Amino acid sequence: MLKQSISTAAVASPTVMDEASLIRAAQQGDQDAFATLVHSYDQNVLRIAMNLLRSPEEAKDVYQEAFLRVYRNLDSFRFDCSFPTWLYRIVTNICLDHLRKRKVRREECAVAESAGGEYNLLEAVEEHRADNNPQRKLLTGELRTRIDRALSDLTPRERMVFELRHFQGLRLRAIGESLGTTEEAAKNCLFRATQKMRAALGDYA
Amino acid sequence: MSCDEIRDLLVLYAYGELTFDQEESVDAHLAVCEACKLEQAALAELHAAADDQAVAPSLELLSACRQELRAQVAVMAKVSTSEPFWRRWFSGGTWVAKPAMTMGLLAAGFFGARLVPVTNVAAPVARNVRFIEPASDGQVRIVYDEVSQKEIAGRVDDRMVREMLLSATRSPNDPGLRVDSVEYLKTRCEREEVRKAFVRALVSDPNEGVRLKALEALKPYAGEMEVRSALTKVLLADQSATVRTQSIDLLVNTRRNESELAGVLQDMMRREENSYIRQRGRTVLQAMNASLETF
Ligand SMILES: [Zn+2]
Repeated sequence: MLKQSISTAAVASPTVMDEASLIRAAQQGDQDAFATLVHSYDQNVLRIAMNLLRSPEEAKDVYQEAFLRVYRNLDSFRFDCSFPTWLYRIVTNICLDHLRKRKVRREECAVAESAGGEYNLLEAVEEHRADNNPQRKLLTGELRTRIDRALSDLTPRERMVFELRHFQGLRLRAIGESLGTTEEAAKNCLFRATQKMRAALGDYA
Repeated sequence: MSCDEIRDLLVLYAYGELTFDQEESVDAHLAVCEACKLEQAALAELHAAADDQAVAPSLELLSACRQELRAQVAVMAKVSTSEPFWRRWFSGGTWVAKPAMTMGLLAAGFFGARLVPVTNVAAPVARNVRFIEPASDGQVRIVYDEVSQKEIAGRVDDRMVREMLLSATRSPNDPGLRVDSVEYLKTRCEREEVRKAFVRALVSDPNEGVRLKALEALKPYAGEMEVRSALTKVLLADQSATVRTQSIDLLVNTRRNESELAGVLQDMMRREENSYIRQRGRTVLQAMNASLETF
């Protein structure tokens, strides 16, 4: 259900002015065209950032960084790939940077963090989830903790591929393109990510 | 193929990323191997658990991001001299200097005392509203598609502005836009067409944030029949526990007819699974001395 709504949103494109015309207009400085372009994709961008980073503040930073980069570099967009591929390349690069920085931080202060703010955020997020899914059988706290930990133990690249394939419903070929690699490499990433999570789940599943 | 080989394929099988031949092999194997079938079920369990961990950004966050981006782009555009359009967009009044005909621009109420009465312009029929944002002097700026994109600025009291906002509440692709339009319209909730739009959004908008916004906007009118029946519908059928919670609170706090409310709550208790909402219903029913035995 989740994947469905995301992929429909991803392909929803402007109906009146086609995307190529919008991009050309934006390249010539038409800010309304730029805003329309942004609004066609920004919900997905924010969703990716939020789901990967679990922090509204960081998701907001990713959003700004990504679209400002698009704005600054739109001139150099030459239509040699699709606009979403180009955009996702920018977004995934920024998200990967954030994930890598976070990984370093986490390793530096693993002790401090387990007592600190991040857990409060996770709790808030969990409450939100429980609220929204009353029908779904609620996961036990233990299982949740395991999944959260397994997700955050993935390498940034594995986490990104899992996000794009599992949550955003992108095909592996498109993911490879966005990450500047092959479909085969994306496939291997997804495979490793799933195996790691499966192992972390152990006898729970 | 051996079980180990099949298990390696199961991961991609779940995502439909295998070749035709590989998928055939997996299908054939799963039909006869109980152990691999169990492994497949475990994987499905893992996926469901991961789905449960997914978080969606709020529409408020989306709105805040859009506004900040606009502000930042405005700063960048000011620095650059080669982009007069950006300046027109962001620096208040200068954009009207562009001839209205070539811009496809409709300025309603923009010239203050000398404003062209909005009613003189043909009211727009259903249009595709792209976005809404605050303009100077308490006005609202709406960008919408016709043959090309045009814009209009005016007060919510202006008929045309209001009609555009009303049509934006039904904008199919952009929940952020629907939330913004409800926000602008909610000060005009005394108008029947506005309440009708909110009731429709509350009952049938696919986005939880929009439904919550509509519910909030309808609060002052929770005593009205049509609003109450919408709230009841939502309490019994909405997928979001947050929406149902808000709905039960509002119905209870504004009740006039106890027996009607008791009936609704009893219906609710039969299907509700959320413990907070059940507890709330039980408390109210007990307070009303309604029979708890009927469910
Ligand atoms: Zn087997």
